[in-house]
Amino acid sequence: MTKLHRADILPHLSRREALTKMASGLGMLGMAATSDAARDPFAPKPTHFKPKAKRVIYLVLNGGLSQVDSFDPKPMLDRHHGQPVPGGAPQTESSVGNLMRSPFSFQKYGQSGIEVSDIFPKIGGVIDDFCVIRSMHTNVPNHEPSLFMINCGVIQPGRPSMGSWLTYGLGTENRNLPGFVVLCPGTPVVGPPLWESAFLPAVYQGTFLKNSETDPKKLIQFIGAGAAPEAQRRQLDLLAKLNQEHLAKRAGDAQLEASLEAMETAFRMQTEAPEAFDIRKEDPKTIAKYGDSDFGRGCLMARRLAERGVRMVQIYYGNSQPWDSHEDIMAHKSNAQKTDPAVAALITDLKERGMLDDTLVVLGTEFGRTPAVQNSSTVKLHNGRDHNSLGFTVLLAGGGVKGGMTYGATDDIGYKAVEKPVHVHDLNATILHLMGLDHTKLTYFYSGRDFRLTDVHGNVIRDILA
Amino acid sequence: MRLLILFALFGSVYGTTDADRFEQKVRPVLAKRCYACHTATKTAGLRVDSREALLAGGKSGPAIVPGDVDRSLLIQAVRQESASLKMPPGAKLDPAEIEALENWVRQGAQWPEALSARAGNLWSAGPLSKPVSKSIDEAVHHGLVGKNLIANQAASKRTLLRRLTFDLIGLPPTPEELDTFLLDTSPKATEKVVDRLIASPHFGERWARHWLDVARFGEDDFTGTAVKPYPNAWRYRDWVVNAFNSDMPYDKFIHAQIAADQMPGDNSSYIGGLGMLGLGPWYFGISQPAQARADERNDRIDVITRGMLGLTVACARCHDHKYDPIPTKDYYALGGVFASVQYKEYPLASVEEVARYTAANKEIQDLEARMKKFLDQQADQLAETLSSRVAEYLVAAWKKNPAGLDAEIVDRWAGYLKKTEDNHPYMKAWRAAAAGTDEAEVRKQSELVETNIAQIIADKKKLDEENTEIVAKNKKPKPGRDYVLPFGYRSESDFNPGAEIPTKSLERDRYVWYNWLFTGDKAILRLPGEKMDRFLTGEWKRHVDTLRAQLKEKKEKLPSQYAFYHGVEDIAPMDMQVNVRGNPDELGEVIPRHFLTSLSKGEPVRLQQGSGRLQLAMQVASHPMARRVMANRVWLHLFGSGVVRTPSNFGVMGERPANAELLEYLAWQFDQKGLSVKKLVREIVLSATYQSASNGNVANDGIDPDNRYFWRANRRRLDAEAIRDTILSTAGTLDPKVGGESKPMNESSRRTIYVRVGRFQQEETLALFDFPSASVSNESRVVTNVPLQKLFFLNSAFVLDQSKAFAKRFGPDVRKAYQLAYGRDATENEIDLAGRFFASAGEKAPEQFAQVLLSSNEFAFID
Repeated sequence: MTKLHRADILPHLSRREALTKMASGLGMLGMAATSDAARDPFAPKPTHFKPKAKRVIYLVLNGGLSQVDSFDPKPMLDRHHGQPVPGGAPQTESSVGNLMRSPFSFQKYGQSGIEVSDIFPKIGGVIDDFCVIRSMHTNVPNHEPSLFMINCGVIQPGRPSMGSWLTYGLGTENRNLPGFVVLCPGTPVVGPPLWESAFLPAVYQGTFLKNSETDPKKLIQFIGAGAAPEAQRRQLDLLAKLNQEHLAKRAGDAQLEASLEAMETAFRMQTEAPEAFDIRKEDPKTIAKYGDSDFGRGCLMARRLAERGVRMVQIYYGNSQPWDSHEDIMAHKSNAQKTDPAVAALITDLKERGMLDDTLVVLGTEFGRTPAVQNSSTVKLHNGRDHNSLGFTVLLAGGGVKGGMTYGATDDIGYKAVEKPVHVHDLNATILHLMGLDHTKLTYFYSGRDFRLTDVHGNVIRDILA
Repeated sequence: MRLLILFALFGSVYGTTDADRFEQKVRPVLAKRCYACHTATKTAGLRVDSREALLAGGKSGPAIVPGDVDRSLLIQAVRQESASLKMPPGAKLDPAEIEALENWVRQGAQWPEALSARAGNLWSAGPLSKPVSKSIDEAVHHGLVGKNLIANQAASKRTLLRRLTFDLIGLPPTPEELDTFLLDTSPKATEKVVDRLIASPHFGERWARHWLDVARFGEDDFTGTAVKPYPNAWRYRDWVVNAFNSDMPYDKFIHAQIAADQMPGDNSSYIGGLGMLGLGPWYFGISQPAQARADERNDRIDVITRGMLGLTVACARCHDHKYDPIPTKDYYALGGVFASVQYKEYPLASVEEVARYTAANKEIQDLEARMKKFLDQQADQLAETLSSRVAEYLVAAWKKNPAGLDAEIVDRWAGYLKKTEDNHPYMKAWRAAAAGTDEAEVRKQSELVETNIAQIIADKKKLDEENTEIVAKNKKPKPGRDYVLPFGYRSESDFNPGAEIPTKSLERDRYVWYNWLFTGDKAILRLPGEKMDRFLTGEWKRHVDTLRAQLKEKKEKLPSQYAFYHGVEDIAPMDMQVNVRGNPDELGEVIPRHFLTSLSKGEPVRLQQGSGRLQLAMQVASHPMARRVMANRVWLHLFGSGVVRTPSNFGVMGERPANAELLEYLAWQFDQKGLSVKKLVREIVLSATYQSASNGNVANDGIDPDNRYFWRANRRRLDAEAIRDTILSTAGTLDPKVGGESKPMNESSRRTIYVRVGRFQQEETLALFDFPSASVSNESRVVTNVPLQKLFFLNSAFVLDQSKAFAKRFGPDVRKAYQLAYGRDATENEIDLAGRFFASAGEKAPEQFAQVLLSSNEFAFID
């Protein structure tokens, strides 16, 4: 029942600073400036510096994309296929055996000549728009902690997710739509805690939608089941009068005024939201380009939402963890058949609409896979790869990132990031940077200290900024 | 011990004021400006988080020369006098910060590492002192006078009753209760109401929920996408409700939640409190056991120290606390307590009943296993038999003439052959032949397919046997401690068992083909479970039928499982090694289990009886901080804002109370009156301060806009639970039953505290109204105001249904509607507005009108 403290909703002045200022007699923050924010936690807020991207579309290939079978070719693996890992395999979750070459071949694509696996030919076609970071690493080789790491910057539950931080820090450009939308046909591993706002106000948590459903009225909670529009208008007119009278006796109470406005916004949302989520309104040719898959439809919906000012859309490729190819790396191929057209269509679509410049597209995963075969008793077929937190690949496009470049490198066999290693914290710091936020300053004072997405870590990867 | 020796040595040369200055001026600067790059990361080889590290320096040499400011590189760097040495990058410290560092170096750069673990540095840790004030109002008055604030006049009786009823029981007053109160002109009228409310069983429901936020009460955990619900979690919730209703002294309340099983005498009424620890969060298989257990311990330390002591001890997991006097060693001293504890269920049934249930349940499981084994064996045998007739089936499929063959197997073959891609090479030649018309060729290819399959089966069998042997030979107990977690999960042995053992497998293509034929319920040649029945005859069939009949009977007879509390128990006690930088795989020195140094007089109490839980509980509960923190929480729930507005942080970075005397008065009263929450609540709500009006005034707003001195009451939006409960209550549909099992929200018209609380999936509607995450201890709720909340009022099935019920309740009587919804008469203007609405809205007017009232500000905000 506490009021939202003013500083709580002012990211750039930490609560501690605000408290200090008040305590030291520097006076209150300007009331005019803060009352807007107090009224509406989604009001657009100033960035720390000029942003390159206004919104993020974060595609998660959940389960762990194998780098050596996708965007990090390793000829040494072909040469030394079947031989022991030089120096022994680093500890992963399970027993791994000898080196295993990729069953897929690589080709150079685009002007940049970046090599891409032949399971992603269409992404190859737009590779000049991508920065391929080949030196990612994270803390532990387990799904849950690593999913928490890419989303929340720690390996346990209980911290706000990136989308929550972004909407908290930037507000949203379209108050008729949620600021942070998460799509998955069902539930990815870990599920809802990945888009929680934790101790940030609950309004910043992700709005989760099952993109296996295409009827927007079934997709969105609390839309359009109440009275018919004209009857509802009549209700709201009466309500406004009652609320005005109530307010008149309590003049100047910002929370009551905010409540009045919120009701009017809600009324408007009912017409805008269903339209935004309705991909059936797209040209059939466009729909076809994205491919007939949940992931394809998710990417298309993401583009519609991005057009309408949604701050962050996150799409999980599939339920549970479809990329977790322990037994058979060939499973990557069938996943890629759905991923490849969707990602390529998203990039070209955004480009055609002039939106790629200020939309950051992340093609990520929670960790990579071992270049050696998993041979443990827990898998029946030894043609797959175990989890690998020491080296993996993430792709970025648009939103102020240099296209057509690779950054960093793993060792000769693709096990470990060795050249310009990029921790997930660094990636997250960079994403915030592109959005105009200094990751060390986007803080929230909770229970005695300032918290941030990158905890006490993170360095912006300057070399990939356009 | 080393810590204590240092303590003594340092004490003589290092005065309190210097330590304070270091904590207030120097450490925060280093922490804020330098730690990001110069602790574990060691940029340029330099760490700045200890005196030794600064003296050792980095690539450029020692960072400080104690006593010599100008020769200290640290100072040169922050002064930014030379272009080659400027820190921090891209920014410059404030002059005051630079000066603080200079003074510190000048005075010898003392680092009160061990000394920092002293209560002297904590504003909130001293003994309670008898307050000057004789009452809450006097204490508040002292604060107001100093600030030239004038207290508001009293709120109207109507407003007061509404406020009291929501604050004490979380529900609105009934019109009858209101009438009674308004008509009662005796001086004791308010006391009577307060005593009635405090004695109400709903008091516990309201106040328990406040505590459950702190206790991060959740009714499930998760691993992967599997939700693991705790079936008896609600019993802990009920225990908390009862504790508040029976006014359990707060120290006993703490003892029970940390160590009920070790409380002397008959502790049966306390055991339920162990749910605070027994209900997790448990992290099961979500990360490596060592990491997962470390994260669990961190949660326990956090919920106890923040929740009960207002100290952020969990911040000391990776490094000494940056602001508070909490060394990392203290963290692991407490860590040892929880390393000596595991999950345990405490049955609420007789030993016999438990034994009966366990035995019956085991019989069922054994029978199921036997039946599965038998049917699996039969299916395997049948599959092998069918594999010797593959050629026959393939030819029949080609000829589309399945005469004399098993129809289902024919169908399965046909289904497979329709595939456009095999995903393996072994049908390629057959498919080529089948495209032609040469029967002999098809027959020949069919034979070859069959032979190949026979070879694969043989090789697979051989491999399976080898692998069984390999696993048997290499199976070793895991090195870590095998803690028991809920659902019988063993922390080591159930985490990916066998993953460390390398075995052998078929080549990929052969394995894929084998899978098509034999693996899973849809494989071509394998018929699972009941599909096997038609191949069984004679004794075989009789055997299966008997097993099935037995199983059915036993399942019908099995009673539902006896009730139990989720709790914990001690196992062999152990001290922990420091996890260097919080890494459970990097171990440092062993730390004996002991209580927090900074909250101890002299040597901290060793926690050595068993795990030390009871000793810990007693240390926590008897500490003055526990009283201050709880007294402040009680105030928070009655005012919407604490005297200290960081209710779980009374450390250096916590907010100091604007009116310290008030906090001290409350803590003292709480302590003197037997740690009775009810008595403290009663005293607060009977104060003029609580009973004042909530309206602002220009003069006071200019001085204290946030009402930190409590010159008025705060206007507050109802929280998630109160909104739903009040809607139900106003519509007349609330089921007021106290206690019992949790249900999903849409299946219940009981109070919201009985709605199941998920960690995996939050109840979305409650989250919409700021219900907190159940994964971490929550210090206080924020209140937000967003359009999605309004959509709930406009369109949710819940509000629409309740509006109908509410409309039925007031019929066409608008006055009655106002009485029920707002506890007041409608004005003439309002009656007029309602009349016009009814005239224009048609037959659904009553329910639509009802919905408007339930959606209004007057409904959701209390003055």
